[in-house]
Amino acid sequence: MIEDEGPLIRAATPVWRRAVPYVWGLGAVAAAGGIAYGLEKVLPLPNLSLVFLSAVLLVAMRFGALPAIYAGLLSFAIYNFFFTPPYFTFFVTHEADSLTLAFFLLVAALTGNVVGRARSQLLTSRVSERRASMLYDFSRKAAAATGLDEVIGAVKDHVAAAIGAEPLVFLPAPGNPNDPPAAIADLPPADAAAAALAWRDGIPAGRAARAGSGASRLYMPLRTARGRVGLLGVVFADGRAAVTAEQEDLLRAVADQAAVAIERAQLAAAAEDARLLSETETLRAALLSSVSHDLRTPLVSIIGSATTLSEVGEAITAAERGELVGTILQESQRLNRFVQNLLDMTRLGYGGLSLRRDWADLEDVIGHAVSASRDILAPFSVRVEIGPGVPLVFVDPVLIEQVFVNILDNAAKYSPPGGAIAIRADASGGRVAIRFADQGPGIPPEDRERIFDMFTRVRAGDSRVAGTGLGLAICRGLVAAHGGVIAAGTAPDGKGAEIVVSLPLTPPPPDDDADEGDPI
Amino acid sequence: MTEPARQRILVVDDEAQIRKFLRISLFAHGYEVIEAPRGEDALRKLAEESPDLMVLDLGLPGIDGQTVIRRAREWSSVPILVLSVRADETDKVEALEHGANDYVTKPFGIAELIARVRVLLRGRSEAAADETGYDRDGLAVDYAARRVTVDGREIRLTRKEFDLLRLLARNPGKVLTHETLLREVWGPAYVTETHYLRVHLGHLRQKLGDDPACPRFIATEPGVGYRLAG
Repeated sequence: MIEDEGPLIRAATPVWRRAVPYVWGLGAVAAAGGIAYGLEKVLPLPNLSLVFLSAVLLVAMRFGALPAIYAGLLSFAIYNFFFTPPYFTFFVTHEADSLTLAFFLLVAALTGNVVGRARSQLLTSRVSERRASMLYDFSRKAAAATGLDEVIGAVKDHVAAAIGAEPLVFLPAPGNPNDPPAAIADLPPADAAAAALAWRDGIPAGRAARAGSGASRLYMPLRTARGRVGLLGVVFADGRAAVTAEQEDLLRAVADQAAVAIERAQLAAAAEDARLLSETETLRAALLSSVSHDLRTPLVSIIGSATTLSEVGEAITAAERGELVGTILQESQRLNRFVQNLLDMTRLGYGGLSLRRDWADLEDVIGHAVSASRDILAPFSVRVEIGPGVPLVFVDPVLIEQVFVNILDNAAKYSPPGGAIAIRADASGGRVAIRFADQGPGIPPEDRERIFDMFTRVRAGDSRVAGTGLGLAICRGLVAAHGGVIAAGTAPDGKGAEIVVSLPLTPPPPDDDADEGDPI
Repeated sequence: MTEPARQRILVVDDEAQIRKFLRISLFAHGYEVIEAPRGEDALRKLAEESPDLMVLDLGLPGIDGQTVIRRAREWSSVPILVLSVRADETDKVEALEHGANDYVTKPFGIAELIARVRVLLRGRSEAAADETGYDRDGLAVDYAARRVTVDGREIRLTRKEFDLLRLLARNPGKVLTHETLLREVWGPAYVTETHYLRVHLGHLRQKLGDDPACPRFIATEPGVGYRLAG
């Protein structure tokens, strides 16, 4: 019988399954007997042997030589017993009957043999086809796997498909690739010993291997050209079969493939770790330089002004004292903004940011942001325009205000003294866009994406601009947390920069409050 | 010539530097300062010294600020001005709901703090005095006649708008949380319906001719509530 499904390597066939062809043979011959009995009434005797011959032929084609010979002998016995005189005896009186027996056996042996060979060829080709498609399937899965866990999952599926039971996969600890995998210590003693042996000597060990013992599984080392990557512990579905050399070959092929896939995943993970580490290092260096620069610069002014006041405060004019105090104030406010940004960045980075959404009037939020930035915006003229039909937005008002404050802070940094900063909100297509246009030098197209990265600054010609390089990165994070988009472009004057924040609108709750137009 | 008796302010903060500059500046503005570094001291001094106002840091070691407010409110009606950091809007709302009168976000300028202190102390002496109306800085509200004028010009308000304005006017300078406004004007079932509040407050502001960027009358406290500029 040819099976299309099921494991490729199978335990030896149990007795009852081996008996099946003989039962079929018996059935076929019995059926032939029945038909012959019916035909006997209408046909001359010699032709009846053909009915039995057909049964033998069928058994030979279906089950091979041995069951066919069995069916041939059986047919002859029945034919001889029931259909040839002397009836109900096994005596052979005619030579023709001996010839019949000889034909039966010849047909059975020849056909059975030919069919058997064809069958086994077919089986072999199907097995090798399945094996190839399975290996292909596995390499496809292993290639698509994005991490070691997925690769191991693919290995397990693959082995399960090949032998019918899921294997154990053991990997050494990432730090100690030469020590045996720690997990084998949890196996039963005989298994642990076999696994350790397989690991140490790089050969299959345990159940069914030549070096076998009381272990319940066969342990195969997973090796690549570069060395050991792990161990495979396999057990057969019925747990009792021996492994033939051919089966061991297939297992070894599977193990080799698994080893390569695992090693590839490990190398990819190591490369990714290295990349992340270097990115983290870059970020850390940028953060350190930003912190030391942006914390220290205001501190230098603060400490300098304060010590001046404390030491020569009596000797300088009231106006000078006022100036120094003003410096201390401004610089500490700058420090405060920086610290706030660092905190926001940390909260964004650790995913600890929870939005406290509430209905908010954009005019209100923008107004509050402008008034919170009034010191920075003092040298400029700020105009706010809220387009008709801008509805309430459902946002975290504190965080969106922070976004606006950072954008205004940025606009102030690059605007010429006395320049105009225009803020305009418009709603359309289920979104509201808030535009901040300044009259500064603008942002070169190649920098328009980059300015939202951390620690990026687009320098104006002079060194007047001192930012943290955090503000706009935080804006992007906060806006994204609201499902919105922030982008940079050119102001309507064609020269300055324009930052556009686009937020999705939320449909308002049904208003069953019947107060509209109800004068008192 | 004898100085008039100074009003006394209890300053509760565990940071000695903050207590110091508050002591100096509050004294310079004519107040006497009592200091307490911890919540326990605060409650004791509140009982012993009966100050006119308490400035309370929310982030105290030991008994925290919220607990101090709750315990103090069991027997005292002293105005409480809370000091809190940004990103703690929930804390501010909680403090206000527990009975704090106002808050200032750290770091703050002293002018802002003094303004709040003045409003709270003045509100204390006036609150009982004027139950018939509000008339300050060009805004006049007559509670009985339900009449509102801005710079002498009459403003027509809807019922809800008037109720909102009256509630704010009865607590001049004090932050009223969204929850309080909704509960008082719409009823307890509406405390989460902030959409109503925004819509009506927006209309009210428009009718009063208030600019949100530089509000003359109604100031927004993002994430917390509204206050009538005191």
